[in-house]
Amino acid sequence: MLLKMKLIVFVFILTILMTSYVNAITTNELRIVLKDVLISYFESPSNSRLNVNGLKDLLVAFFETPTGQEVNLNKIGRYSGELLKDIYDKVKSKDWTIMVFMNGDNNLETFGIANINDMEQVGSSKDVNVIVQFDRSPEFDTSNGDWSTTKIFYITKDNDAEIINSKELTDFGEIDMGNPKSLEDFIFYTMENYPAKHYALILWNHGGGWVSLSNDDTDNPAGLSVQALADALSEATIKKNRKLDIIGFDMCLMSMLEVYSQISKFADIGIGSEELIPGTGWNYAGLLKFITDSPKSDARTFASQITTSYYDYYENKDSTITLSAIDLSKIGNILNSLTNLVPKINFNINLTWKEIARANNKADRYNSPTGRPNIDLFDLLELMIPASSGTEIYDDLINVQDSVASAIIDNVMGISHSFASGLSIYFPRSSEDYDLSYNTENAKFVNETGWDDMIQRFYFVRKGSDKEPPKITIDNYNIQPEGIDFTVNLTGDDILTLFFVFSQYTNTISINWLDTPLDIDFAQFEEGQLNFFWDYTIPALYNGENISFASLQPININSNKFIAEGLYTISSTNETFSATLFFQDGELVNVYIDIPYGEELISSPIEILKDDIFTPYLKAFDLQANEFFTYEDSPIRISDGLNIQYVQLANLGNESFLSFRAEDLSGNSEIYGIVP
Amino acid sequence: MKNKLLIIIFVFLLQTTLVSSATDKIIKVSFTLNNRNHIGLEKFEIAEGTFKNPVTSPSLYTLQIKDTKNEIIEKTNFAPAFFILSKEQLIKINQTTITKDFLYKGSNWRFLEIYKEDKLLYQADVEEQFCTETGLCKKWIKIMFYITPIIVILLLLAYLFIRKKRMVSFK
Repeated sequence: MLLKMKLIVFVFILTILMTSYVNAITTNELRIVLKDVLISYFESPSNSRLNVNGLKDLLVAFFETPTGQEVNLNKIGRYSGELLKDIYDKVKSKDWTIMVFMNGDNNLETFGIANINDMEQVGSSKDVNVIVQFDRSPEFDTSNGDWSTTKIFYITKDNDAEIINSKELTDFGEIDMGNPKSLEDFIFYTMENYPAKHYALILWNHGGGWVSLSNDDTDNPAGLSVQALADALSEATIKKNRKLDIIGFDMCLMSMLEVYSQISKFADIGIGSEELIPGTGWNYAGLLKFITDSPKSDARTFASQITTSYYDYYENKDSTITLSAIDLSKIGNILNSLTNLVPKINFNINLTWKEIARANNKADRYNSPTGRPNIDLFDLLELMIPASSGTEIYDDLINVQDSVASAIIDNVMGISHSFASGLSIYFPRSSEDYDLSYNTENAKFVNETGWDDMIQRFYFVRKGSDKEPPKITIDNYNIQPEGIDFTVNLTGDDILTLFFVFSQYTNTISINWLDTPLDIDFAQFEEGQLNFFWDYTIPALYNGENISFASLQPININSNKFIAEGLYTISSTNETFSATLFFQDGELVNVYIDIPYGEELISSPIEILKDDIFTPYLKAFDLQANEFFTYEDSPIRISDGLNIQYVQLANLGNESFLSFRAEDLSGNSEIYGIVP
Repeated sequence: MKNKLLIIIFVFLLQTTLVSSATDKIIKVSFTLNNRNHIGLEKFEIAEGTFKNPVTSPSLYTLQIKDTKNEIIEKTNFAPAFFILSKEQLIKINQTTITKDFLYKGSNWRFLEIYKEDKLLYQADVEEQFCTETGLCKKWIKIMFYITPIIVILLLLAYLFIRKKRMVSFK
């Protein structure tokens, strides 16, 4: 008897719980499953878990309830049994839905497959949906059925690191992933079908900062403009009447003020990189492990974990990485403070240009196919501030810097970018590198801030301010057994860099075996004498067997981290690309090759394999044609541990030329040399 | 009056000479480095000649000298060569000796550190060796270094005070 009573009480409580459980479903949520329920009933009424009375009550309850309101499903509870639980599980909001717009219709296809397999190490959970729209290429990768259409997957956990086993939700056939409508539809589809308390959208493809993103080789090599991205986000978020919590860019160069200024309305947090992102991309296993373990995390916490997991993955693999999480609600403050600063710089441009020039030359810069036109905004300001003390722009520089600092939620960087603070801005070193489409692609940004105008004024004043190159003479030099002691006299305005060059010449050419900037703080230097001692050493590349000479240049002025340029041959395919090698602690850490992409070259990191070959470049001069050219030194195999070694010359040889080259802020330069 | 002024100038010159004898010194530091990054500090010595502010080119290696407060007082780059190119023949050697000149500016040298880029290869407390080999850490030199400016200022003030007083008495 007592047992029966307990059972009745239990069932009663369960019924109440079930009722309140179901009552929380809205028309919007019910709409998601209504189609499936109807199809299932009419295709096979006998197998349906809903009887005719249940169906009638369900439809009446749905149509009698105003859109968006909660549906009274109590009545169908009598006829439907476990169906209600199914409906609830399917439509009830989870904590997070992570949607990945993966455009693999290009040379990144293999990395896309790898990243989905990384996601499958964790998969979706009862609190987290992981949805991927993946467009594949007809080329590059033949694994996983070699399909080349566009499919949506619901990511599920499995232990196979090679094969995609996740549930395929739909196959669209081939679609243009560079079309804003494709992105808009994906966002809408995912938010509609996989509602959650928080949404993270990850855009996965090649990125070019403000230039473009999501290039689709099959349908749209030009890809999306940032404006088109903003349009897609606008449409999708208006339709769903809510912002995204996170928009992430698993693509190169996107953490730019220009990019975020166009999309800040549509998400709370932006995650992107100032520098290139390796093909292997974000640490999906790491970030999904965190969010499935801690699904109640808010967007800031999750964003920080995304950047941290990225750093953890690349810490000992790639010293050039950067990734930051930006509070997009603070972008407006940055734009306002920049809008206050720029007119004051322009008004005083005849004075301020020198501070800008020195800062622009030294601040942290980021790679791209068109040189290194993006610069770290915080670092640029940091370098301008000391020299601006007491001037009219000082407070405004501090304000912009403060506003940038307050927008950074989290920021990670490899050791090669110690001064990356998380947000970059377009500012090419020279006017020749300035892309005129910048103004049209970023019309709203430049109209508001005047940033383009400031850059152009800076170029103009710099060019017109100083016609005379610096004057150099070697006042004295003393040849000793250990080296040569030079006394160099340097005069002129606004000197930027002094280089030391050791070259050797034949009848026809002269090769620069050493061409290095000297460590002088010209902001502090006043005209006069400098003493330089050269110990007959020149840096070279050494693989444990052979030596090859390269023009090793510091990454930034005064840096002791080096890059070498040349040709890189991949042994497995015998393909040769122009390449840049990065050295950290004297050891080779990264290789970036320039891959032809349409009419452009895209710089892309590659895995270093020990049988690959590097042919270093040296700068040389053709004495007959009177022009510079690139001299290739002997090829060297990338064995285990290619590193920098210094080679001491026992004698200089008869055809040696030792010179100093000075450049000023206006780009004028002069060379003075001796034949010892 | 004239005699007093001469005495002050004499004292001033004496102090300046004493201080400069302690500070205008070129210190030559030498150490060995082998191809396994093992470093052996050899000696500090006072060198002859006139010191010119040197500039260096970016190199993998950096030598830092810190004072007793652990603040960097000297820094320079260097490039150790383990290969010698002679008559187009490359000769590999295992050890090289580096020598660097610095200008002594009055602070005791406490720590000597050598970095390969950001990696610390070597750190040594060199104060005892530095003091013994250069003889620059004697207490009276330090005392003179600090009190000289004070004495000079006091003497000048005293002179001005006496002069002013006399001018008043003439009225």
